[in-house]
Parts: sequence; structure tokens; C-alpha cells
Amino acid sequence: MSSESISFGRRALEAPSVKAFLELEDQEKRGEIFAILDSLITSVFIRSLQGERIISMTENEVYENSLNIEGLTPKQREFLSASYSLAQQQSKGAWFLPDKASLGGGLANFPSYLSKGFRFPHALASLQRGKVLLKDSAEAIFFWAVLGPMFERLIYPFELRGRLCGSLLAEDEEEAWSEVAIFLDSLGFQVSAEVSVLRGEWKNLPDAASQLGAKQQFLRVLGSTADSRIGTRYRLFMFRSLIEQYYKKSKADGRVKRKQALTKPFQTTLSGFFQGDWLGLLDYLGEQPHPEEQIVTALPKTPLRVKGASRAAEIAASQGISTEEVERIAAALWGESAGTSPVEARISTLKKFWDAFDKIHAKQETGMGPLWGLVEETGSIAFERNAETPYQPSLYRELFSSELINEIESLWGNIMLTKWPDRIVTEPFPHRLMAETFGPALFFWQSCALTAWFICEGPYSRTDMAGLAHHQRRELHELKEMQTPVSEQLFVELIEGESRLGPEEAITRNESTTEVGHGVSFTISMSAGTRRKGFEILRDIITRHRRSWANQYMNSYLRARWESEIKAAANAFNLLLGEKGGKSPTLKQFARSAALPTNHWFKGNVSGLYRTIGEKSPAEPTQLTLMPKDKRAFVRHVFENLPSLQFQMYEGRISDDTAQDYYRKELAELAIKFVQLEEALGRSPEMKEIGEKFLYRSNVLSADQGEAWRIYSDAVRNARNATK
Amino acid sequence: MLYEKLSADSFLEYAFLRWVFTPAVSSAITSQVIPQFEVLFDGRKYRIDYAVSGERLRIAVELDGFEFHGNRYAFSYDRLRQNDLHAAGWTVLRFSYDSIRLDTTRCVSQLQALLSLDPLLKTLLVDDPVVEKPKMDPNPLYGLSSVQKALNNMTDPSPESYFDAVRDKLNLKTLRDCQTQALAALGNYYHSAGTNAACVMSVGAGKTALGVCACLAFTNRRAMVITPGSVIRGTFDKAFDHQNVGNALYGLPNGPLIPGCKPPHVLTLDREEGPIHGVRRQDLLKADIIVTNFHSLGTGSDEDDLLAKLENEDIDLIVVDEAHIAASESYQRAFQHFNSGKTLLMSACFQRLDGKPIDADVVYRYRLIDSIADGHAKNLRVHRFAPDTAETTYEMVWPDGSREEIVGREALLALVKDERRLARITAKSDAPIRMIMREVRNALDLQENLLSPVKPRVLFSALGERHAEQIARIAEDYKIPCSHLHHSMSEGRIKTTRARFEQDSGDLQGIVQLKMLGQGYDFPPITVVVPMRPYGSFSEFYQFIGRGIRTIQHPALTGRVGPAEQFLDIIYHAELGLDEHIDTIYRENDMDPLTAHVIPEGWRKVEDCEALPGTRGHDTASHPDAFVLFERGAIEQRIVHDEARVETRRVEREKEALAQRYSAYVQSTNNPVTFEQFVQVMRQFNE
Repeated sequence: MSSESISFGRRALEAPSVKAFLELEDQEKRGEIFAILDSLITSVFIRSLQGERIISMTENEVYENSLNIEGLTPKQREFLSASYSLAQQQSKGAWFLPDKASLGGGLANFPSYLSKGFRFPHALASLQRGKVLLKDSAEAIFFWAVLGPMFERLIYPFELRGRLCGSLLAEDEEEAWSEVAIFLDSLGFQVSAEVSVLRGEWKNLPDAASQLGAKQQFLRVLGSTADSRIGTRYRLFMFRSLIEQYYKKSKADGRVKRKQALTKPFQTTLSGFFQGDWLGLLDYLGEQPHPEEQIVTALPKTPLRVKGASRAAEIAASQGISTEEVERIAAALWGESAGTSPVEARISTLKKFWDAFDKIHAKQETGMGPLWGLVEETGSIAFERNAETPYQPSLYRELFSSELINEIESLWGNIMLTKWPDRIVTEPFPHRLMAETFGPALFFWQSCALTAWFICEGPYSRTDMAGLAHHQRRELHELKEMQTPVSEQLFVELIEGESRLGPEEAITRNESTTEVGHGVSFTISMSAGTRRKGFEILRDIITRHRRSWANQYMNSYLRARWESEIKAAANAFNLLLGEKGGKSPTLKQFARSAALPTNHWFKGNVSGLYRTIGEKSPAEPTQLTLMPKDKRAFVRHVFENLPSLQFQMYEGRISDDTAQDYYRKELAELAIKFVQLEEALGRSPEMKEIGEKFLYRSNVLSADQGEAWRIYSDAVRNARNATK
Repeated sequence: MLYEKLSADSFLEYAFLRWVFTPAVSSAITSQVIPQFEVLFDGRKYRIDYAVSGERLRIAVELDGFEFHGNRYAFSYDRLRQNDLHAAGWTVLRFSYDSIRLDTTRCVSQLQALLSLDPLLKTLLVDDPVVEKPKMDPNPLYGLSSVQKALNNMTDPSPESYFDAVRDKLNLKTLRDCQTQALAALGNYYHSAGTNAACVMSVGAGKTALGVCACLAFTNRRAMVITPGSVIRGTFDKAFDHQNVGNALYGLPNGPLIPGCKPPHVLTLDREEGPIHGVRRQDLLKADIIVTNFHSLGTGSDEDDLLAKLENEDIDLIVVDEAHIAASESYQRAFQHFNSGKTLLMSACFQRLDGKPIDADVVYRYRLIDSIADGHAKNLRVHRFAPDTAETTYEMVWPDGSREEIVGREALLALVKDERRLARITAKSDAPIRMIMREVRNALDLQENLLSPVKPRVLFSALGERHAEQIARIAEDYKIPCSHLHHSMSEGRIKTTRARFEQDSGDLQGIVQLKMLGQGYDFPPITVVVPMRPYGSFSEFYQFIGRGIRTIQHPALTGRVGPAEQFLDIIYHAELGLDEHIDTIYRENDMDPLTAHVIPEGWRKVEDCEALPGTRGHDTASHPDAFVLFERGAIEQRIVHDEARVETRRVEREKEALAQRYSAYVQSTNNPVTFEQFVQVMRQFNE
């Protein structure tokens, strides 16, 4: 076969080194399209080696970072934004790009820290790492795809004589140094002498200063031997493994589907050097696309269908059919005889909940109990309430109407588990799920009111009013993002209101007086925090702002809640669709993205979500209810029927009743998961399916894990039968 | 009462006895009457509902579940049967379900009038008969119900099978006239104890929906649909998939077939769902309808054969699709195995591939010309390229590599000695393909103008895979995005290629098929068919043509391009020897071939002929390696889904999702809105 009929890619695969590959590319003028990119990589590389600071990262109040590449020319910036924006990459079919990534921008600054003689350059570099939203920044994507991996390799020899020193086995260390040598050689550095100092003579260096000097010398030589083609050599270094992977996966005709060849490690290379364009890679290699290849370059605009029977009369009139028929259509859409839209039903209940929540807080007065527990925040079963503690679990049961409680338990009483999306199981904590569905506004206003209460009524508060905005920064950030911000005036007024509260008074508890005779007695009292008069001042400020916020934003807030969650799932569906070349993802593939809106808005029935986003549901989930209605009684029954054996704890200590009860309580609570799994699996779960928590606690039942599982399973089943 | 003394096999017979016979005659006639009487004539066996013997007359009372309002000569079996009974000395008296129900007094009078012609029977008539108003449901399918069920206030509290529950709820109004007529003919045929029926219906007439409807109407226990080929995930499978767009249970254009009813449990056995031999008898028995193929049935000698897993009584209706494909032995073996059941052969073709007539009683026939007249089939427009054979230049390449120019067909024929070989040379040479392709391009341009926004498609046939590639390549030259399909391709590739061709969002406009997309494939947007190969079998040729025959139903064409304005362009080369097949289509369908033939101007003399590669007939597909199949632009068009394409596909997926919901809706109501209206309502639920 003549060399002309062998593709460029195959010939490049045969090239024994980066140098030979470069010659081949030059000869055939295949590298011209990368000229700007190569020059950009070269300039960043050299600037970094010369000790320039390359990357700056800035963190916002919710710990999201922005990443900037310093010192770029306007032309380079233009090139980056034209080639590396998320939209640009996705328009080439690169739907695999994550929304956010943890980027270590400091790696690129390491040479700067080292050359300036900072004592802990590694530590300084590692401080500049954090979550970066890739969707907002082409520079961040360029760093993720090109610079990050490049600097990781460059810094590796320093790591071997820094963070990794002494942590590798001898043969692993040998291999690591060999890789370093290959990398540096591929890039054309003439640093063998300096490497040998780091590699072999390190132990002979007398002190820390000499070691630092050796590293600095290594860096200097790197900088001085880097030439104008360093960027090209790095690109070809990366191409070699990509090409190897391509031909490993392709058939004899040189064709392979993108999904088969482009495993995760190679996605960044495609994104970095071909701007995510698979056809660009094929063009470079001189290969044809696979006959079944499909590349999606845009996502569809998914209209959301959330209305139900509430609009039956209106639609019936416009379509000229009977209202009953429209109601039947709504029933078929939502799989419920009433045809009520699940989203509309939940919005209605959330509003009812808010009204009740608002009234309770507005009426709270000094002398009453705290309202910590009005919103269920945790997923745990409390056997009994301790009136002395500020947290009052299940307080909502006493303060909300039974009608509202039933409504919440009915609408949020089921969920889907990501592993079994075609099954609907019982949600053990529907009030917590409802609160999650309501989202940050509920948690903010609840926390705001609790802060006011605990500042005034004690015993302690997590923050004062000056610290409230910071304490609640995540919720406030989310509310701002949703265009439903809380007025900053609230905090101004609360701080001012706090200044008008009475002085701190100590709260005493356990006061006891002992007569010792002769008219003498001892009184012992224990201080338990402080209180200040004037709760109503703060309450009224909060109530006024809460109501004003709700009047202004509640409708748009609740709409944003369902819309953002369902749209995110629709977007995830479309991304998977894009990644699969237009083929719908399977239910299991979609489950992870579908779980949140499915559980918040569709009672665990994923087909409801599919209907809302206008996609065909691959399955109609089924439901098997085994969970006892009274979950507290059920857990207690399990607890009471579990044996309490002594077991060996740490440092040879033997468990006491308290430790054993703690273990039994944890196992009893795990029974909820046991039954959930039974509902999902249609059979009793096996020990490995319930997770490691059981193993950690099983020795209170038996030293033998198999026997412990048998005892436990029997106890759960008995309790389930006794309390159903 | 008289009606209690005589037996009735069905509610129709009971209705006759109860409301016509009993008021007309006295009970003493019982001894003169034999219910369900069998008659043998000339080797044929018929069953008469009630044979009434007098002194001089032998009267055959024939009851029809359905009346016919059509005026076509479609019911030859029925007429031949009646003629045989006449010849055997029987006087035939016919009453339909509707005439008993609506015209009872007249039925009684007619019966009495005929009986009075016989001296004995005359004495048994009732003077001044008292005629009751019959209690009969308007749906004639009730006539097929058991007496007990029908009398149970028209509802069966415990239906024995799925079919008992659904049969009389069939919404026949949703069927086309030809389907209703075929169903009526079948109803009457089976009612009169016929067991081996055939319906010959033109492509595009809706055989599949008829097959589905027949299963629901005439099955008691379990039906089996047998289709040709080893992969059957096609027409019938989709027709029974109640959540699929356009399925035959709920998705027919005129509304659901079984409103208010659940779908049957259908078990489709094909290799896409895993090995067929693994299916267990209990799984088969759970199904109401089994869809399978001859290959899976086997002979019954192997325990893995479906025939070995099913017993005679398990199946009581067998529907054979595309019956002309199967050798008679194949389905006769199945019929033999389930010999207590009824059978229905369906075909578009009046003869089998082996040229023999279909081996069954043809109870209904619907010709292509009928289908065109009724707007189900497109008009045919034949484009025949007939070159001046005396001036055609061929280049002969001898084994030693030397080339010789030969002018004229006769001169070449003298060398190759075989007309068929000549046809193959024509089929595989670039020049004739280009000639044809030029006309295909013209036809597509015309169709695009007419049918916009529907994208017209073209279907080619080819001799082999290389030939298919050659045709696809030349089609691309004429800006017709084209690919080929071959049965040896992987399932995934076939599926992807079909999707690219069939979906509105797909990029292909043409497909070159090789033993694919044959029987049962039906895709209305195909408006140009190009047989690029000779056909020995007329059936095969007719089937190929038929792939594009069905008229396009698209909202955008409503009121603008009706069925009468739609055409199927058949473009072929005269040297392929297809003239006879074309003539057969016209002859057998009583069509006038002259009105449909179009011979394009300029076809006889093509000036740019010499300039084209392959003009001399040697640049054939035998060296396809040299061909460049795709340029970069073509690649992008093929595999890149841009915003418009992605959105089109989303709309298609949304429609599939709506079909799923429509299925749930239709089961909940007896009077459903149409799918289109359902879609409108659903759109209003959008936020």
C-alpha cells in the first residue's frame, strides 16, 4: 500500500517520538491550523517558567471561583472566547463538558513562587484551587482542557521532591521519574543533568537550602531551554496518546464511533486541541466518520407541560369539547383520576403551608416555646421529645392542621431511588422533603426567626443579627440568583432592633438549695445561657419583611423552584441525548438527574417528569408499599427487639449500655432503609445492599455478621408485621 | 317457544329465530328444520344456517352479520357460494343483522312469502304474525357474540377471554370503507363456517389495520399473526404497540379502534427481543396475540420450535401477512397444527412468488385502481427511459485487457448471448444510472414543490452491495443525500440508517435497498421509486413499487394537496426488462397504461452523454474502491444534527410521548377525541 493511501493518523501512530511526529506534521503541513493555539501555549509556558504569575482565582460568598489567565494579549483573549466558550464547544458536539470543575489554578503559579524563593511554594500553589463554573468562562475551559493538565505534568518532578517525597514505593518512584524524563524529553528540554540531581543525588544534598537551590536551578534551566515550539511539542505529546487510543478502538477501515474512542481521559484533549470537534480530529487524522456516527450540535427547547384539570373548562371551551373529556385527558396525562397537575397541586400546598408558617411565627411571643422543629430539617426518628432542649422534633404536628399535615404526607410521601427508577418507594420523612421542595426561602425565613428567638429567649444563638446575613449567605445567594432577593434593609433594621433589646440576663437551671442546719443553707444554681427582653421588636421586623417579600415574590419564587429543577432535568436529558447522538438515554442513565424533580414534584413517579418535559416514558413505575404508617412505632419496635450484646470497642474497651443503645438506635433507624429497599427490590435486601452502616453496627447483635444480619432481618420483618 | 326448540350458534341466529322465524311459523315446523346444515357440492363444503325442507322446496336460510353498501365486484366468494347452493337445488333466502333489527316485519313477510310456495310449509305459517321489536344492539358485531352473552343485557359479566370483552366494542367507524367491507366479508364467511379466507388488497388499502381488527373480531382464545422474514419488528408489531404513533388500536386517523378498552397482551417474537427458542409455553399462553414469523414456527419437530410449544386448541385464528411470499407448505403446516381454528391470508398480490394463485377462499378483493379512486393510493406516473439501442455505445473489455467499442444493442447481444446479462450491464453502468438519476432529480424537484413541507423520498433497488454504493454515490452527485441498506448489516446500522431516512429530522432523501424494506414496509413520503435492476418475479417487483404507494396524510397538505393530486413516480430503464411487469400492474388492476406513462422529452438523445464518466459502460461498480463516497460537506450534512434538525426530532419525540398518553386516555373513555385534537389539548397544558 502506498504511503498516500495510508491515513496521516496511521503514519503519525508509527512515529517513534514527538520529534518524528513533529517532522511528519511539518512535512505535510498538518499543524498549520493549530498555529495560534501552539503559540498561546508556548507563551504561557515560557512566561510561567520565567517566573511570571499566570493565574488568578477569586472566590465569591458561596465559594465559587472565577479563573483568569493573566497577561494575555487582546488577540489571545479573542481566540479563547471564540474557541473555548461552553456554547462554542457544545456547538461542535462536546456535550461532555462539565458545568463546573475543581481547578488548581495555583499550579501555573508554582514556578513563580519557587523562583521568588517562597519557602512553601507547593502549599501556596495548592491554596489556589477551587470550584469553577466552566459555563461562565472560556479561560476556565482552556485551563481545564489544556493548561491544567500541562502544568500538572510540569510540576510533577517538583512534587516528587515535595509532597510525594517518601510516599512512593521504590519501583513506583522509578517509573514516575521515567515518565518525567519522557515528558521533558518529548518537549525538547535539555535538563538531564538537573533531573539527575533531583532524582539520584537528592539524598546527598546537605540541607534544605541546597534542595531549594536544586529545584530553582532545575526551573531556571527549564526556562532557558524552552524554545518557540514548546507549545507544538506539548500538543503532539498529548496527540500521541489520543491517536493511540483512536486506533486501538477503530476497526481496520480506520472508523470508530466517537463514544467508543473518546473515553473520559481523552475528552479534555479533544476539547483542548480540537475545540470539542470530533470531525476536526477525523479531518486531522485523515479518517472517515463511522457510518452510524451522529453529532448533535444544539439542544432542543423543551416546553414544560405542567397544567392539569384546573384549566379543563377553559381548554374545553377553546377546543369545543366537553369539560369532562378534557378532564379525562388531564387524568391520562397525569395518571390520576382527578387529572390534577402534580406541580399545581404541590404549589397550592406549599402556599397553604407558607400561610400557616407565617401566622405561627407572627404570633410567637415571649414565654412560648421555640419553633425549632416547625420545619423538619433532619431525617431521623426521635423516640421522645426532651422539653428542655431547644430543638422540638415534629413540632409541626402540633401546630399545623391535620388537614395540611395529611396533604403534605400525601404529596411528598413517596420517592424514587436513583438505582431503581422504575419503582416508587415510601419517603420516610415527607415533611423534610416538602421543606426541601420549598427551598431556600423557607430555610432562610425559618432561620431568621429562630435567630431572633434564640437571641432574645436563649439559651444561645448561632449568630447575632450582624452575622445573620453571612450565616445565611447560601440561601441569600440562591434567592438573589432566582431574582427574588431579600431586602438588605431587613438586616439593617434587625441590627438596629437588636440594639434596643434589654440587657442580657442569665438563664439558670437546676437551682437546688440544701439546708445545712443552724439556719444556713446552700443554693447551687447552674447558668444555661442568656436571654434579652424585646423579642417582639425583632419578630415584628421579620414578620413585616417576610410578608412584604412573600407578597412581592412568592408566586415567581415558587415558579422558579419547579421551573429550575425541571428545566435542569430536561437539560440533563438533552445533554445525554446529545452525547448519545440523538438517542434517548435509558431510564437508568437519566435517573440521577431525574431524581430531584421527580421526588420534589412528582411523588417519586419519574413518568410524571417525562410527561412534563414531553418525552416518552420508558416505563410506568410500579409501587409496592410495605412501610408501616407509624414509622416511629416501627423503628421503636425494631429497637426494642434487637439484642444488646457487649462488644469490643476501641483500645480494648468493652461497650456499655449507652454505647449499645446508640448502636441499636442506629440499626433501628436503618430499618427504614431496609423496608425502602424491600419496596424497590420486591424482595428482602441482602446485607451488601444496605450499605456499610450495618457492618459498623452489627457487632451489637452478634460477632458473626451473617448471624447478625439474620437477627436483624427477622427483627425488621417482625416489627413491620406488628406495626403495619 | 319455537326459538327455544332450535339451536343457535350465535346471537345473529338467535335473533333470526326469535324475531323472524318464531312469529312467521308454527312450532310444528321444527321437524322440517335442520340448523347448521352442511352441504357438499362439487367437492366443496358449505354450511347453511337453517335448512328448511318442504315438499317441493329446499330453502337455505343464510344470515349475514353485515350488509354491503358498496357496488364493487368484490365478493366473488360469496357469489360463487350462492351459485353452488342454487346448483345443488337450494333456494337461498338471506337476512342480514341490520334487516332483522330494523326491518323485522318485512323479513317476516319475505320468509312467509317464500315458504308459502311450498305446499307443506305453507300449512305451517302463522296468520297475522305478531312482530316484536327486536332487542338488538346497533353494532352488527353483536351478531357474532354468543347467545348467552348477548342476552345478558349486552354485557358479559365474566368474559372468557380478552376478545369477548372487546369484540362488540370495536369502533368500525374508524375503519375505511374497504376495511369495513373486508371485515364484513370475513364476518359472513366465518359465520357460515368458512375457515380459510383470503383478502387481496392493494398496497395502501390498510391491510395491517384489517389484520388487527380481524384478530379482535374473530378470535375467541388466542390469535397468531405470522409474517414473512426473520426480523418482524415492523408493521404488525408497531400496529399492536398501543403507545406507538399511528398504532392500529388507538392511533388510526379516524380515531381509536377500541375506545374504552385495554389493549390486548401482544407477544412479539423476533430476534431483537432475544432468542426466540427460549420462550416458554406459559409465556405464550399469557398472550392474547402472538406475532411471529414462519422461521420461528419451525416444523414442530424440534422442541424449541413454537409449533412444538403450542397445542392445537391454543390458537383459533391465524393471520398470515404478505401471504404471497410464503410457500404454501409453510403456512399449511401451521394451519395443520392448529386445524381447529380459522385462517386469514392477506396479500396485496393475487399470485404467490411462485406464480401460483393464493391457496384460500378470496372473500374480498380491493384492487389498486379502487385504492387510487378512494384516495388511499397515489396515482402512478411511469417514466420509462428508452434509449436508441441501435446507437448505444458499449465498451467490451476482454480477458486480456484489450478493449473493443461496440455500437448497438444487437451487436452486443450477439456477443453476450443473454438478454438478462445485457440488463445487468445496463443496471451497473454509470451512464444509464446517471440518465435515470437526472430524471429522479427532476421528479423530486416537482414533488418538493408540490408537497412542501413534506420531504419527498426516493427508493432505489439494486443488484448487490457494490451496485447499491454506486447508485448512492451517483445520487449524491445529483444532490440526493442517499445511503444503502442491506440485510447483512448490523441491526444498529439498519436502524440508524432507517431513522435517517424516515425521520423528518433525518438527512437522507434516498435509500438504495437490497432485500430490505420489502414486504410490509410502507412509508408514504416515498414518492419516487426506481427499480435499478431486472426483476424475475412480478410479485417482488410489485411489492417494491408498493413501498411508496400509500397517500401522504399530513396536516400541511390538507385542503391543498389531496390524494388525487399525489403521484408515485416510477422511473426505470427500458433495458431492465420491466415493461411486462408494468403492463401486468395495469392489466390486473383494470388500469389504462397509456394514460399514466410519461416519456420525458430529450430522453432519446442525450447530448452530454459522452462527457460523463462511465458512459461507455466499463466504469461499473466492479472497482468501487476508487470511488470517493463522501466529501466533508456531505459528511456534515449526514451526521451533524443542527438546531433545526434537533428541534424537528424533539417534536417527533414529543409526538411519540403524546401517543403514549393518548393510549391511556382512550382506554378511559368510550367517546374519545381524535389524536390531533388530543395533541391540541395537550399543547394547552404547556406552560
